Amino acid sequence: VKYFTGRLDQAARLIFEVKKESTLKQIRNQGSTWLYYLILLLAVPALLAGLAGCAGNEASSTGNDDVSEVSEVALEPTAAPATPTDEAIATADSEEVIVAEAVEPSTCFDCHTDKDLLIATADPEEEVISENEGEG
Amino acid sequence: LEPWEKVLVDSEVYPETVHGQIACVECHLGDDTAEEKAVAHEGLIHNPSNEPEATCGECHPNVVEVNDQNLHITLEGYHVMLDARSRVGAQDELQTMFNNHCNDCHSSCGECHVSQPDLVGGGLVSGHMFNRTPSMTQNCTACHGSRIGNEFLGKHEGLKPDVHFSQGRMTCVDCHDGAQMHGESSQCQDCHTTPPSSEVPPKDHMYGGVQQPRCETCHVNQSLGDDGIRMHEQHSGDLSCEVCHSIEYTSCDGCHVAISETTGNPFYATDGSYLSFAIGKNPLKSYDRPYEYVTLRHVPVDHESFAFYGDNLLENFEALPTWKYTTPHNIQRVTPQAETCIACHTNPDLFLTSDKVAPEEFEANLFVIVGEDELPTLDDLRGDPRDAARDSLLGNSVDNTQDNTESADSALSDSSTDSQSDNN
Repeated sequence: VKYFTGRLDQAARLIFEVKKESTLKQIRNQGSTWLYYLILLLAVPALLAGLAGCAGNEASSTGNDDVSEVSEVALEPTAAPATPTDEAIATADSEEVIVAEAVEPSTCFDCHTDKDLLIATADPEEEVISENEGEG
Repeated sequence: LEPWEKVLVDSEVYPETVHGQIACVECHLGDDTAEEKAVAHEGLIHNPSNEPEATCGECHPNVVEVNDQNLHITLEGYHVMLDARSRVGAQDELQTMFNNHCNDCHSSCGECHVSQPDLVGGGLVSGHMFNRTPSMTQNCTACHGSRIGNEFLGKHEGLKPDVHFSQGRMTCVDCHDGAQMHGESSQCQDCHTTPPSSEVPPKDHMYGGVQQPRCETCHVNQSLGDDGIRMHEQHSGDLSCEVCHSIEYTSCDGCHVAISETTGNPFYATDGSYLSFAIGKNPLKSYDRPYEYVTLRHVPVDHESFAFYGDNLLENFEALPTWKYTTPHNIQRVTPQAETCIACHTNPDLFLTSDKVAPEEFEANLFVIVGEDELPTLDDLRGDPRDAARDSLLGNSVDNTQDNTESADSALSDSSTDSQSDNN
Protein backbone atom coordinates (compact mmCIF):
# COMPACT_ATOMS: atom_id res chain seq x y z
CA VAL A 1 0.00 0.00 0.00
CA LYS A 2 2.86 2.35 0.93
CA TYR A 3 4.62 1.56 -2.33
CA PHE A 4 1.59 2.44 -4.43
CA THR A 5 0.78 5.47 -2.31
CA GLY A 6 4.33 6.68 -2.94
CA ARG A 7 3.96 6.11 -6.66
CA LEU A 8 0.63 7.92 -6.75
CA ASP A 9 2.19 10.80 -4.86
CA GLN A 10 5.02 10.99 -7.38
CA ALA A 11 2.56 10.92 -10.28
CA ALA A 12 0.47 13.69 -8.72
CA ARG A 13 3.58 15.85 -8.25
CA LEU A 14 4.61 15.24 -11.86
CA ILE A 15 1.18 16.27 -13.14
CA PHE A 16 1.28 19.34 -10.92
CA GLU A 17 4.72 20.34 -12.24
CA VAL A 18 3.65 19.83 -15.88
CA LYS A 19 0.48 21.79 -15.32
CA LYS A 20 2.37 24.59 -13.59
CA GLU A 21 4.86 24.75 -16.46
CA SER A 22 2.16 24.84 -19.10
CA THR A 23 0.27 27.54 -17.19
CA LEU A 24 3.43 29.63 -17.09
CA LYS A 25 3.87 29.16 -20.83
CA GLN A 26 0.30 30.22 -21.42
CA ILE A 27 0.83 33.33 -19.34
CA ARG A 28 3.99 34.15 -21.26
CA ASN A 29 2.21 33.63 -24.59
CA GLN A 30 -0.71 35.68 -23.49
CA GLY A 31 1.49 38.50 -22.22
CA SER A 32 0.23 40.89 -24.86
CA THR A 33 -3.40 40.06 -24.00
CA TRP A 34 -2.75 40.83 -20.34
CA LEU A 35 -1.16 44.13 -21.31
CA TYR A 36 -4.20 44.96 -23.38
CA TYR A 37 -6.53 44.31 -20.43
CA LEU A 38 -4.34 46.36 -18.13
CA ILE A 39 -4.40 49.37 -20.44
CA LEU A 40 -8.16 48.97 -20.81
CA LEU A 41 -8.58 48.85 -17.04
CA LEU A 42 -6.66 52.08 -16.58
CA ALA A 43 -8.01 53.89 -19.64
CA VAL A 44 -11.74 53.34 -19.08
CA PRO A 45 -11.89 55.01 -15.64
CA ALA A 46 -9.71 57.82 -16.92
CA LEU A 47 -12.05 58.30 -19.84
CA LEU A 48 -15.06 58.23 -17.53
CA ALA A 49 -13.43 60.79 -15.26
CA GLY A 50 -12.70 63.03 -18.19
CA LEU A 51 -16.28 62.82 -19.46
CA ALA A 52 -17.64 63.47 -16.01
CA GLY A 53 -15.41 66.54 -15.69
CA CYS A 54 -16.89 67.88 -18.90
CA ALA A 55 -20.43 67.18 -17.76
CA GLY A 56 -20.19 69.33 -14.62
CA ASN A 57 -19.43 69.26 -10.89
CA GLU A 58 -22.16 66.85 -9.83
CA ALA A 59 -21.27 64.24 -12.38
CA SER A 60 -17.59 64.81 -11.63
CA SER A 61 -17.94 63.65 -8.03
CA THR A 62 -19.53 60.37 -9.16
CA GLY A 63 -16.66 59.76 -11.54
CA ASN A 64 -14.04 60.26 -8.80
CA ASP A 65 -15.80 57.75 -6.57
CA ASP A 66 -15.40 55.19 -9.30
CA VAL A 67 -11.68 55.82 -9.47
CA SER A 68 -11.21 55.51 -5.74
CA GLU A 69 -13.13 52.22 -5.70
CA VAL A 70 -10.93 50.78 -8.36
CA SER A 71 -7.80 51.87 -6.49
CA GLU A 72 -9.00 50.32 -3.24
CA VAL A 73 -9.80 47.02 -4.88
CA ALA A 74 -6.39 46.97 -6.49
CA LEU A 75 -4.61 47.73 -3.23
CA GLU A 76 -6.57 45.59 -0.84
CA PRO A 77 -5.05 42.16 -1.44
CA THR A 78 -1.49 43.44 -0.91
CA ALA A 79 -2.16 45.69 2.09
CA ALA A 80 -1.42 43.70 5.24
CA PRO A 81 -3.71 44.58 8.15
CA ALA A 82 -1.92 46.18 11.07
CA THR A 83 -3.77 44.19 13.67
CA PRO A 84 -6.13 41.23 13.72
CA THR A 85 -8.93 43.65 14.50
CA ASP A 86 -8.32 45.50 11.23
CA GLU A 87 -8.18 42.18 9.54
CA ALA A 88 -11.60 41.23 10.83
CA ILE A 89 -13.01 44.57 9.68
CA ALA A 90 -11.73 44.16 6.16
CA THR A 91 -14.58 43.53 3.77
CA ALA A 92 -12.94 42.62 0.50
CA ASP A 93 -12.81 38.96 -0.50
CA SER A 94 -9.07 38.77 0.16
CA GLU A 95 -7.07 35.91 1.65
CA GLU A 96 -7.11 37.64 5.04
CA VAL A 97 -10.87 37.44 5.23
CA ILE A 98 -10.79 33.74 4.50
CA VAL A 99 -8.42 33.32 7.42
CA ALA A 100 -10.64 35.48 9.60
CA GLU A 101 -13.55 33.21 8.79
CA ALA A 102 -11.56 30.12 9.67
CA VAL A 103 -10.45 31.41 13.05
CA GLU A 104 -12.72 33.41 15.28
CA PRO A 105 -11.05 36.61 16.45
CA SER A 106 -9.85 36.01 19.97
CA THR A 107 -8.60 37.98 22.89
CA CYS A 108 -5.43 35.88 22.70
CA PHE A 109 -4.49 37.57 19.48
CA ASP A 110 -5.54 41.02 20.62
CA CYS A 111 -3.04 40.91 23.47
CA HIS A 112 -0.27 38.81 22.02
CA THR A 113 0.17 41.01 18.97
CA ASP A 114 0.29 44.23 20.97
CA LYS A 115 3.79 44.89 22.23
CA ASP A 116 2.80 47.78 24.50
CA LEU A 117 0.00 45.83 26.08
CA LEU A 118 2.30 42.88 26.72
CA ILE A 119 4.84 45.15 28.37
CA ALA A 120 2.14 46.75 30.51
CA THR A 121 0.58 43.49 31.63
CA ALA A 122 3.72 41.36 32.01
CA ASP A 123 4.19 39.63 35.34
CA PRO A 124 7.43 40.60 37.04
CA GLU A 125 10.03 38.01 36.18
CA GLU A 126 11.27 35.93 39.05
CA GLU A 127 14.97 36.35 39.34
CA VAL A 128 16.51 32.92 39.51
CA ILE A 129 20.04 32.95 40.84
CA SER A 130 21.92 30.06 39.32
CA GLU A 131 23.94 28.08 41.78
CA ASN A 132 25.65 26.11 39.05
CA GLU A 133 29.40 26.29 38.93
CA GLY A 134 31.56 25.64 35.92
CA GLU A 135 30.58 24.76 32.40
CA GLY A 136 27.51 22.62 31.92
CA LEU B 1 14.70 37.81 25.23
CA GLU B 2 12.57 40.33 27.11
CA PRO B 3 9.44 38.86 28.69
CA TRP B 4 7.14 40.56 26.15
CA GLU B 5 9.37 39.41 23.31
CA LYS B 6 8.98 35.83 24.36
CA VAL B 7 5.23 35.87 23.78
CA LEU B 8 4.76 38.44 21.01
CA VAL B 9 2.97 36.87 18.07
CA ASP B 10 3.59 38.12 14.55
CA SER B 11 0.37 39.85 13.54
CA GLU B 12 1.06 40.07 9.84
CA VAL B 13 2.50 36.83 8.59
CA TYR B 14 1.60 34.24 11.21
CA PRO B 15 -2.19 34.46 10.76
CA GLU B 16 -1.74 33.66 7.11
CA THR B 17 0.22 30.49 7.73
CA VAL B 18 -1.29 27.05 8.04
CA HIS B 19 -0.70 26.94 11.78
CA GLY B 20 -2.08 30.44 12.10
CA GLN B 21 -5.45 29.14 11.02
CA ILE B 22 -5.73 26.98 14.08
CA ALA B 23 -7.35 28.75 17.02
CA CYS B 24 -4.88 29.36 19.87
CA VAL B 25 -7.04 27.46 22.35
CA GLU B 26 -6.99 24.36 20.19
CA CYS B 27 -3.46 23.71 21.37
CA HIS B 28 -2.88 26.01 24.34
CA LEU B 29 -6.33 25.70 25.95
CA GLY B 30 -7.20 28.66 28.21
CA ASP B 31 -10.20 30.87 27.47
CA ASP B 32 -10.06 32.97 24.30
CA THR B 33 -13.23 34.89 25.11
CA ALA B 34 -12.12 36.17 28.51
CA GLU B 35 -10.84 39.71 28.74
CA GLU B 36 -9.04 39.31 32.05
CA LYS B 37 -5.54 37.98 31.63
CA ALA B 38 -5.80 35.66 34.62
CA VAL B 39 -9.06 34.15 33.42
CA ALA B 40 -7.85 33.84 29.84
CA HIS B 41 -4.76 31.98 31.04
CA GLU B 42 -6.60 29.59 33.31
CA GLY B 43 -5.63 26.04 32.37
CA LEU B 44 -3.20 27.37 29.77
CA ILE B 45 -0.69 24.90 28.38
CA HIS B 46 2.56 26.72 27.84
CA ASN B 47 4.14 24.12 25.59
CA PRO B 48 1.46 22.01 23.90
CA SER B 49 3.99 19.87 22.09
CA ASN B 50 4.89 18.24 25.39
CA GLU B 51 1.87 16.11 24.51
CA PRO B 52 2.76 15.60 20.85
CA GLU B 53 0.22 12.92 20.05
CA ALA B 54 -2.64 15.26 20.88
CA THR B 55 -1.21 18.29 19.10
CA CYS B 56 1.54 17.99 16.48
CA GLY B 57 0.68 14.36 15.87
CA GLU B 58 -2.74 15.28 14.53
CA CYS B 59 -1.14 16.45 11.30
CA HIS B 60 2.37 15.04 11.58
CA PRO B 61 1.76 11.44 12.67
CA ASN B 62 4.77 10.18 10.74
CA VAL B 63 7.10 12.29 12.88
CA VAL B 64 5.40 11.73 16.21
CA GLU B 65 5.12 7.99 15.77
CA VAL B 66 8.91 7.60 15.89
CA ASN B 67 9.26 9.68 19.04
CA ASP B 68 10.25 6.58 20.93
CA GLN B 69 13.39 6.56 18.76
CA ASN B 70 13.99 10.28 19.15
CA LEU B 71 16.98 10.91 21.40
CA HIS B 72 15.87 14.52 21.86
CA ILE B 73 12.76 13.18 23.56
CA THR B 74 13.82 9.90 25.14
CA LEU B 75 17.29 11.02 26.29
CA GLU B 76 18.08 7.36 25.99
CA GLY B 77 21.81 8.02 25.78
CA TYR B 78 21.84 9.12 29.43
CA HIS B 79 20.03 6.00 30.54
CA VAL B 80 22.34 3.70 28.60
CA MET B 81 25.42 5.25 30.19
CA LEU B 82 23.93 5.37 33.68
CA ASP B 83 22.73 1.77 33.47
CA ALA B 84 26.15 0.59 32.37
CA ARG B 85 27.98 2.31 35.22
CA SER B 86 25.51 1.88 38.06
CA ARG B 87 25.10 -0.92 40.54
CA VAL B 88 22.07 -3.14 40.76
CA GLY B 89 19.47 -1.51 42.99
CA ALA B 90 20.58 2.04 42.34
CA GLN B 91 17.92 2.75 39.73
CA ASP B 92 15.51 4.61 42.02
CA GLU B 93 18.15 7.01 43.32
CA LEU B 94 19.50 7.56 39.84
CA GLN B 95 16.04 8.16 38.44
CA THR B 96 15.47 10.85 41.07
CA MET B 97 18.81 12.38 40.19
CA PHE B 98 17.95 12.16 36.50
CA ASN B 99 14.60 13.89 36.97
CA ASN B 100 16.23 16.69 38.95
CA HIS B 101 19.27 17.35 36.82
CA CYS B 102 19.14 15.70 33.42
CA ASN B 103 15.56 15.71 32.29
CA ASP B 104 15.68 19.39 31.32
CA CYS B 105 17.71 18.42 28.30
CA HIS B 106 14.55 16.93 26.86
CA SER B 107 13.37 18.83 23.80
CA SER B 108 9.83 18.87 22.45
CA CYS B 109 8.73 19.65 18.87
CA GLY B 110 7.96 23.25 19.77
CA GLU B 111 11.29 23.84 21.46
CA CYS B 112 12.98 23.35 18.10
CA HIS B 113 10.38 24.62 15.65
CA VAL B 114 8.58 27.45 17.48
CA SER B 115 10.43 28.70 20.52
CA GLN B 116 13.80 28.56 22.16
CA PRO B 117 14.24 25.55 24.46
CA ASP B 118 12.90 26.00 27.99
CA LEU B 119 16.35 25.10 29.23
CA VAL B 120 17.60 28.48 28.06
CA GLY B 121 14.55 30.47 29.06
CA GLY B 122 12.20 29.76 26.18
CA GLY B 123 10.55 32.49 24.13
CA LEU B 124 9.15 32.55 20.61
CA VAL B 125 11.89 32.54 17.97
CA SER B 126 9.99 34.38 15.23
CA GLY B 127 6.58 35.49 16.39
CA HIS B 128 5.14 31.97 16.76
CA MET B 129 6.00 31.08 13.19
CA PHE B 130 6.60 27.36 12.86
CA ASN B 131 10.06 27.14 11.40
CA ARG B 132 10.65 24.06 9.35
CA THR B 133 14.37 24.52 9.94
CA PRO B 134 15.32 25.35 13.53
CA SER B 135 17.55 28.35 14.10
CA MET B 136 21.15 27.27 14.55
CA THR B 137 21.89 29.70 17.36
CA GLN B 138 18.48 30.05 19.02
CA ASN B 139 17.64 26.38 18.96
CA CYS B 140 20.49 23.97 18.23
CA THR B 141 23.45 25.63 19.90
CA ALA B 142 21.24 27.11 22.61
CA CYS B 143 21.56 23.63 24.16
CA HIS B 144 24.56 22.21 22.31
CA GLY B 145 26.59 25.32 22.91
CA SER B 146 29.43 24.85 25.32
CA ARG B 147 31.10 22.20 23.22
CA ILE B 148 29.59 21.90 19.75
CA GLY B 149 28.44 25.49 19.32
CA ASN B 150 31.64 27.07 20.54
CA GLU B 151 33.74 24.80 18.38
CA PHE B 152 31.65 25.13 15.24
CA LEU B 153 31.32 28.89 15.44
CA GLY B 154 34.94 29.44 16.41
CA LYS B 155 34.27 31.00 19.78
CA HIS B 156 37.40 29.64 21.42
CA GLU B 157 40.09 32.25 21.38
CA GLY B 158 42.71 31.53 18.78
CA LEU B 159 40.85 28.61 17.25
CA LYS B 160 39.21 28.82 13.87
CA PRO B 161 35.57 27.96 13.29
CA ASP B 162 34.67 24.77 11.52
CA VAL B 163 35.43 25.04 7.82
CA HIS B 164 31.92 23.86 7.02
CA PHE B 165 30.68 27.01 8.71
CA SER B 166 33.37 29.52 7.76
CA GLN B 167 33.74 28.45 4.15
CA GLY B 168 30.59 26.50 3.45
CA ARG B 169 28.19 28.63 5.53
CA MET B 170 26.62 25.37 6.53
CA THR B 171 24.35 25.05 9.52
CA CYS B 172 23.52 22.07 11.71
CA VAL B 173 20.72 20.77 9.52
CA ASP B 174 22.93 20.56 6.47
CA CYS B 175 24.41 17.43 7.98
CA HIS B 176 21.91 16.45 10.66
CA ASP B 177 18.74 15.84 8.72
CA GLY B 178 15.20 15.56 9.98
CA ALA B 179 15.28 11.79 10.16
CA GLN B 180 18.24 11.96 12.50
CA MET B 181 16.76 14.73 14.62
CA HIS B 182 13.36 13.10 14.92
CA GLY B 183 14.48 9.54 15.35
CA GLU B 184 14.15 6.85 12.81
CA SER B 185 11.93 3.92 12.42
CA SER B 186 13.57 0.63 13.32
CA GLN B 187 11.87 -0.94 10.34
CA CYS B 188 14.00 -0.71 7.20
CA GLN B 189 10.96 -1.20 4.99
CA ASP B 190 9.42 2.03 6.24
CA CYS B 191 11.87 3.83 3.97
CA HIS B 192 13.01 1.08 1.65
CA THR B 193 9.73 -0.05 0.21
CA THR B 194 11.17 -2.93 -1.72
CA PRO B 195 12.67 -6.15 -0.32
CA PRO B 196 14.90 -7.19 1.35
CA SER B 197 14.01 -5.85 4.76
CA SER B 198 15.24 -6.54 8.22
CA GLU B 199 15.12 -4.99 11.64
CA VAL B 200 17.88 -2.60 12.70
CA PRO B 201 18.49 -2.14 16.39
CA PRO B 202 17.31 1.33 17.39
CA LYS B 203 19.84 4.02 18.14
CA ASP B 204 20.24 4.01 21.91
CA HIS B 205 22.77 6.80 22.19
CA MET B 206 24.32 9.43 19.98
CA TYR B 207 27.03 7.18 18.60
CA GLY B 208 24.87 4.07 18.45
CA GLY B 209 23.52 2.40 15.33
CA VAL B 210 24.28 3.66 11.88
CA GLN B 211 26.78 6.49 11.73
CA GLN B 212 24.82 9.58 10.79
CA PRO B 213 25.87 11.97 9.55
CA ARG B 214 29.14 10.75 8.16
CA CYS B 215 31.82 12.74 6.37
CA GLU B 216 32.10 10.08 3.71
CA THR B 217 28.62 10.85 2.44
CA CYS B 218 29.92 14.03 0.82
CA HIS B 219 33.66 13.33 0.73
CA VAL B 220 33.47 10.10 -1.20
CA ASN B 221 36.82 10.30 -2.97
CA GLN B 222 38.63 11.17 0.22
CA SER B 223 37.12 8.22 2.05
CA LEU B 224 38.13 5.86 -0.73
CA GLY B 225 41.62 7.30 -0.79
CA ASP B 226 41.51 7.96 -4.52
CA ASP B 227 41.76 11.73 -4.44
CA GLY B 228 45.51 11.81 -4.90
CA ILE B 229 46.23 12.72 -1.30
CA ARG B 230 48.59 10.18 0.12
CA MET B 231 47.37 10.52 3.67
CA HIS B 232 43.86 9.58 2.60
CA GLU B 233 45.23 6.66 0.68
CA GLN B 234 47.15 5.49 3.72
CA HIS B 235 44.76 6.26 6.55
CA SER B 236 41.19 6.40 5.29
CA GLY B 237 40.47 3.02 6.80
CA ASP B 238 42.16 3.21 10.17
CA LEU B 239 41.71 6.82 11.30
CA SER B 240 38.45 8.64 11.77
CA CYS B 241 38.35 11.86 9.74
CA GLU B 242 38.52 13.95 12.92
CA VAL B 243 41.90 12.51 13.89
CA CYS B 244 43.52 14.50 11.13
CA HIS B 245 40.99 17.25 10.55
CA SER B 246 39.94 18.55 13.94
CA ILE B 247 41.73 20.91 16.24
CA GLU B 248 41.56 21.34 20.02
CA TYR B 249 38.16 20.91 21.62
CA THR B 250 36.61 21.15 25.05
CA SER B 251 36.89 18.46 27.68
CA CYS B 252 35.37 18.65 31.15
CA ASP B 253 36.20 17.17 34.52
CA GLY B 254 34.42 16.27 37.71
CA CYS B 255 30.74 17.07 37.52
CA HIS B 256 28.82 16.76 40.79
CA VAL B 257 25.13 17.36 41.27
CA ALA B 258 23.12 18.16 44.38
CA ILE B 259 20.09 20.01 45.72
CA SER B 260 20.82 23.40 47.21
CA GLU B 261 20.27 23.62 50.95
CA THR B 262 19.37 27.29 50.72
CA THR B 263 17.00 27.41 47.75
CA GLY B 264 16.05 23.79 47.26
CA ASN B 265 16.99 24.04 43.60
CA PRO B 266 19.04 21.40 41.82
CA PHE B 267 22.49 22.53 40.77
CA TYR B 268 25.71 21.17 39.34
CA ALA B 269 29.36 22.03 39.75
CA THR B 270 32.11 21.01 37.39
CA ASP B 271 35.78 21.03 38.25
CA GLY B 272 36.63 22.74 35.04
CA SER B 273 36.70 22.66 31.30
CA TYR B 274 39.75 22.93 29.13
CA LEU B 275 40.83 22.57 25.55
CA SER B 276 42.47 19.31 24.65
CA PHE B 277 43.17 17.07 21.72
CA ALA B 278 43.61 13.36 22.21
CA ILE B 279 43.82 10.52 19.75
CA GLY B 280 42.98 7.17 21.28
CA LYS B 281 41.77 3.71 20.43
CA ASN B 282 38.24 3.48 19.13
CA PRO B 283 35.94 2.35 21.97
CA LEU B 284 33.02 1.87 19.59
CA LYS B 285 34.70 -0.12 16.87
CA SER B 286 32.11 -1.71 14.65
CA TYR B 287 31.22 -2.36 11.05
CA ASP B 288 29.92 1.19 10.86
CA ARG B 289 32.83 2.78 12.76
CA PRO B 290 35.76 0.62 11.77
CA TYR B 291 38.50 3.09 12.67
CA GLU B 292 41.41 1.97 14.82
CA TYR B 293 41.99 5.46 16.18
CA VAL B 294 39.54 8.25 16.90
CA THR B 295 39.48 11.53 18.76
CA LEU B 296 38.55 11.26 22.44
CA ARG B 297 36.94 13.81 24.70
CA HIS B 298 36.96 13.64 28.49
CA VAL B 299 33.45 13.66 29.90
CA PRO B 300 32.87 15.05 33.39
CA VAL B 301 31.49 11.92 35.03
CA ASP B 302 33.25 11.01 38.24
CA HIS B 303 33.02 8.17 40.77
CA GLU B 304 31.21 10.54 43.11
CA SER B 305 29.17 12.53 40.61
CA PHE B 306 25.86 11.45 42.12
CA ALA B 307 26.99 10.85 45.68
CA PHE B 308 24.36 13.31 46.94
CA TYR B 309 21.72 10.73 46.05
CA GLY B 310 23.37 7.66 47.52
CA ASP B 311 26.56 5.78 48.18
CA ASN B 312 28.43 3.96 45.51
CA LEU B 313 25.74 4.46 42.89
CA LEU B 314 28.28 4.16 40.09
CA GLU B 315 29.73 0.90 41.30
CA ASN B 316 30.57 -0.17 37.74
CA PHE B 317 32.29 3.09 36.91
CA GLU B 318 34.96 1.21 34.96
CA ALA B 319 32.41 -0.24 32.54
CA LEU B 320 32.80 2.72 30.21
CA PRO B 321 35.73 5.00 29.40
CA THR B 322 35.71 8.58 30.61
CA TRP B 323 37.63 9.51 27.48
CA LYS B 324 34.83 9.08 25.01
CA TYR B 325 34.53 8.73 21.28
CA THR B 326 33.88 12.20 19.98
CA THR B 327 33.41 14.03 16.72
CA PRO B 328 34.62 17.60 17.31
CA HIS B 329 32.84 20.19 15.23
CA ASN B 330 35.87 22.27 14.33
CA ILE B 331 36.98 20.57 11.15
CA GLN B 332 39.87 22.18 9.26
CA ARG B 333 41.40 21.19 5.98
CA VAL B 334 44.90 21.65 7.34
CA THR B 335 45.65 20.95 10.97
CA PRO B 336 48.92 20.87 12.89
CA GLN B 337 48.87 17.09 13.24
CA ALA B 338 48.11 16.46 9.57
CA GLU B 339 50.36 19.06 8.05
CA THR B 340 52.95 16.41 7.47
CA CYS B 341 53.35 12.72 8.27
CA ILE B 342 56.04 13.49 10.78
CA ALA B 343 53.88 15.98 12.62
CA CYS B 344 51.97 13.01 13.92
CA HIS B 345 54.45 10.17 13.62
CA THR B 346 56.91 11.77 15.99
CA ASN B 347 54.48 13.43 18.35
CA PRO B 348 53.25 11.35 21.31
CA ASP B 349 51.62 14.47 22.77
CA LEU B 350 48.73 13.98 20.39
CA PHE B 351 47.86 10.59 21.82
CA LEU B 352 46.06 9.51 24.95
CA THR B 353 48.89 7.75 26.68
CA SER B 354 48.64 6.36 30.19
CA ASP B 355 50.40 9.34 31.74
CA LYS B 356 47.52 11.60 30.63
CA VAL B 357 44.86 9.54 32.38
CA ALA B 358 43.98 10.15 36.02
CA PRO B 359 44.99 7.10 38.11
CA GLU B 360 41.44 6.62 39.44
CA GLU B 361 40.16 6.46 35.87
CA PHE B 362 42.89 4.28 34.48
CA GLU B 363 40.91 1.06 34.52
CA ALA B 364 37.91 2.68 32.85
CA ASN B 365 40.09 3.86 29.99
CA LEU B 366 42.22 0.79 29.58
CA PHE B 367 40.87 0.04 26.14
CA VAL B 368 41.27 3.51 24.70
CA ILE B 369 44.76 4.32 25.97
CA VAL B 370 47.48 4.13 23.34
CA GLY B 371 50.42 2.09 24.60
CA GLU B 372 53.95 3.36 24.30
CA ASP B 373 54.73 0.61 21.82
CA GLU B 374 51.72 1.54 19.70
CA LEU B 375 52.68 5.13 19.09
CA PRO B 376 53.40 5.89 15.44
CA THR B 377 57.08 6.28 14.69
CA LEU B 378 59.35 7.27 11.85
CA ASP B 379 59.89 3.59 11.21
CA ASP B 380 56.27 3.33 10.13
CA LEU B 381 57.02 5.73 7.33
CA ARG B 382 59.80 3.66 5.86
CA GLY B 383 59.57 1.08 3.13
CA ASP B 384 56.71 2.57 1.22
CA PRO B 385 57.51 1.64 -2.38
CA ARG B 386 55.52 4.59 -3.67
CA ASP B 387 58.02 7.10 -2.52
CA ALA B 388 61.63 6.30 -3.18
CA ALA B 389 62.67 9.81 -2.31
CA ARG B 390 61.19 9.47 1.12
CA ASP B 391 62.95 6.13 1.67
CA SER B 392 66.23 7.66 0.73
CA LEU B 393 65.67 10.50 3.12
CA LEU B 394 64.73 8.27 6.01
CA GLY B 395 66.74 5.21 5.11
CA ASN B 396 69.95 6.20 6.78
CA SER B 397 68.55 7.76 9.81
CA VAL B 398 66.10 6.07 12.02
CA ASP B 399 68.17 7.80 14.69
CA ASN B 400 66.02 10.86 14.13
CA THR B 401 68.73 13.34 13.37
CA GLN B 402 67.23 16.76 13.18
CA ASP B 403 68.35 17.39 9.63
CA ASN B 404 66.83 14.25 8.26
CA THR B 405 63.59 14.76 10.09
CA GLU B 406 63.23 18.22 8.72
CA SER B 407 64.10 17.12 5.21
CA ALA B 408 61.61 14.30 5.29
CA ASP B 409 59.06 16.58 6.77
CA SER B 410 59.52 19.08 4.03
CA ALA B 411 59.50 16.43 1.31
CA LEU B 412 56.27 14.96 2.55
CA SER B 413 54.78 18.36 3.06
CA ASP B 414 55.52 19.28 -0.53
CA SER B 415 54.09 16.06 -1.74
CA SER B 416 50.98 16.54 0.32
CA THR B 417 50.53 20.12 -0.75
CA ASP B 418 50.94 19.20 -4.39
CA SER B 419 48.36 16.53 -4.11
CA GLN B 420 45.96 18.82 -2.37
CA SER B 421 46.46 21.49 -5.01
CA ASP B 422 45.83 18.93 -7.71
CA ASN B 423 42.73 17.92 -5.95
CA ASN B 424 41.49 21.46 -5.89
